[in-house]
Amino acid sequence: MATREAGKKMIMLKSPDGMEFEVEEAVAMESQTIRKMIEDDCADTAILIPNINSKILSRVIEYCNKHVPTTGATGAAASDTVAPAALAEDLKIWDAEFIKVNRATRFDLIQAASYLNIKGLLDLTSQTTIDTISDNSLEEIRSFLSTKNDYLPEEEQTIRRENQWAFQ
Amino acid sequence: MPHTSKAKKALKSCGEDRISDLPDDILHHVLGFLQADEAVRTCLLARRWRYLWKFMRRLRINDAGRRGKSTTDVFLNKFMSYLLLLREPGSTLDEVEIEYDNLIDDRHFNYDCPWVDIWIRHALSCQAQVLTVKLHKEAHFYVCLDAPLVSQHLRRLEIYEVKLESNFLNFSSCSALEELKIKNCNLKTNRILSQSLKHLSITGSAFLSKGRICISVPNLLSLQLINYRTATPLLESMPSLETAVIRSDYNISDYCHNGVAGECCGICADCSGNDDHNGGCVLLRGLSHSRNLALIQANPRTFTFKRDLRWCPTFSKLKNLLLNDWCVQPDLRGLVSMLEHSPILENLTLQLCKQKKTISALEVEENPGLMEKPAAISGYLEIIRVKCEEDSVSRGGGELWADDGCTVP
Repeated sequence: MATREAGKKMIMLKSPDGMEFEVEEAVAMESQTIRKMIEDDCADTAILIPNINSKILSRVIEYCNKHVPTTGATGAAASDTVAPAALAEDLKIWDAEFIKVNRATRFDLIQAASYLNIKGLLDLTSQTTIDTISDNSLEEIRSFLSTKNDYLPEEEQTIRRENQWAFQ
Repeated sequence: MPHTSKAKKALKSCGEDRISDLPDDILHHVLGFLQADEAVRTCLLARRWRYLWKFMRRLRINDAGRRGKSTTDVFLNKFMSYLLLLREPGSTLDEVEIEYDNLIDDRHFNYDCPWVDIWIRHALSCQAQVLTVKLHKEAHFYVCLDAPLVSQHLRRLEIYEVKLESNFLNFSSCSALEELKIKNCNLKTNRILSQSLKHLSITGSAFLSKGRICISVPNLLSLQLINYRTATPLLESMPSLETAVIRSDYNISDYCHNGVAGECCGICADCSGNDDHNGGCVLLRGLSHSRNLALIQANPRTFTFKRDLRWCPTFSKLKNLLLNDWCVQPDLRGLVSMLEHSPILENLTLQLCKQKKTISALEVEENPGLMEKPAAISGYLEIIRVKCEEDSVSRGGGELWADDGCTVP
């Protein structure tokens, strides 16, 4: 339910497993999907977030809380040229800690970030996934992703030939 | 049949492969974080991956993974052609980053050069929002971009080491462009033009057109002009400007040849501004709306700032100002003039170089002439910092020689 607390508009997010999270509207609007719902006036009551369980949703909210721009009444005027760089560095360190999760959680986070359309979180989770497979051989990548090679040998040859230009 | 049993087996194992379970559009996004050639090679992982690379939303093309392999213009042209032409036609691109530092220049053998122009145009036709082209040193001698870009999507453009000619820097047809970064380029064009641009940075580049290049970006918020060579650009009005940093270390054309003892003479045609545009402000008028301003000039004989002071505008919003030696050499007129025209200045930083400047800094306190007219100087001025560098060449790491919050009455 949309309530007011200390002048800030609050939004209720509901996970499919029945948990409710009350978050500031600005934080929720880090998600472009939710932003659109709010802007279309579909957010009067609680917003149900399908497919994202409470554990993942709480992590996503944690991320949005940290990344919501601090454009408070004083913030914008007081901070000058030096502050943004320090702030960005601080966020980077925080992100690195935040994403130290197991693989299953990371995949859940990617899906949540994609559904909720949170670009920063999607980039962070994608980059972390890529960092673990970059610079490895195909065999190593397959084993890391636990992907089975389902090509027939002759098929594999054809595809390799087809894309020879990328193997040089 | 062995085929089906194998396929079944593969299907069974899919349960544990969570990344392949992700929807296509997420995988298209994820793949964009790989180098382009690596991303293409994922086609061999499994059937699921065969065509995914064709829809990647971001292309990162660079030579980071090619250590020990020779990369020539021919190789790069071939690679880019395959990559761009074999992508799924019509699929959207968000970002394209081409970064080739170690390209071997083999013009002598094939009379060719990287086809940067067609890559950029293709990227824009796929609605790319962010474009980065960083080529190897010397590329700006022969890689040239000259036709204006057309895109409703391009938001950020970064170009390093390319020759930019003719109307390339006319961005009238890029209505969403907000950020432009140009580094180590040769600019042979009369005008940089954009209504939408908010952040402009030009570093280490040369302006090679006849007369001054005119920078016409009325909605700019931040401007950096650093270590440009040849004549200082003419800045048109920028009413929303917040921060500007102008730093000229090797300025050749704005140089007084008649000066003695390292100072500009102040009376020759060049010094008095009597050149191509009839003696008006070149830089300062365009900067007059800024809130934060740094004017740094390594060689006191270049008159970039001093000549403008003759037509000094009022910096009605200026709060933070950073100046270096030019404003106190040979006398304090530069400094005084800047202060007199900055009615609400709060912070003044003087970055001086040790030997000669200690004397100048002392003069600030002793010069009765300056103290006699405090009325003209901002009543808001709270902090004056004088930073003194060991020698004029070192910058950034200059020791804090004095940091006192002395209040001007």
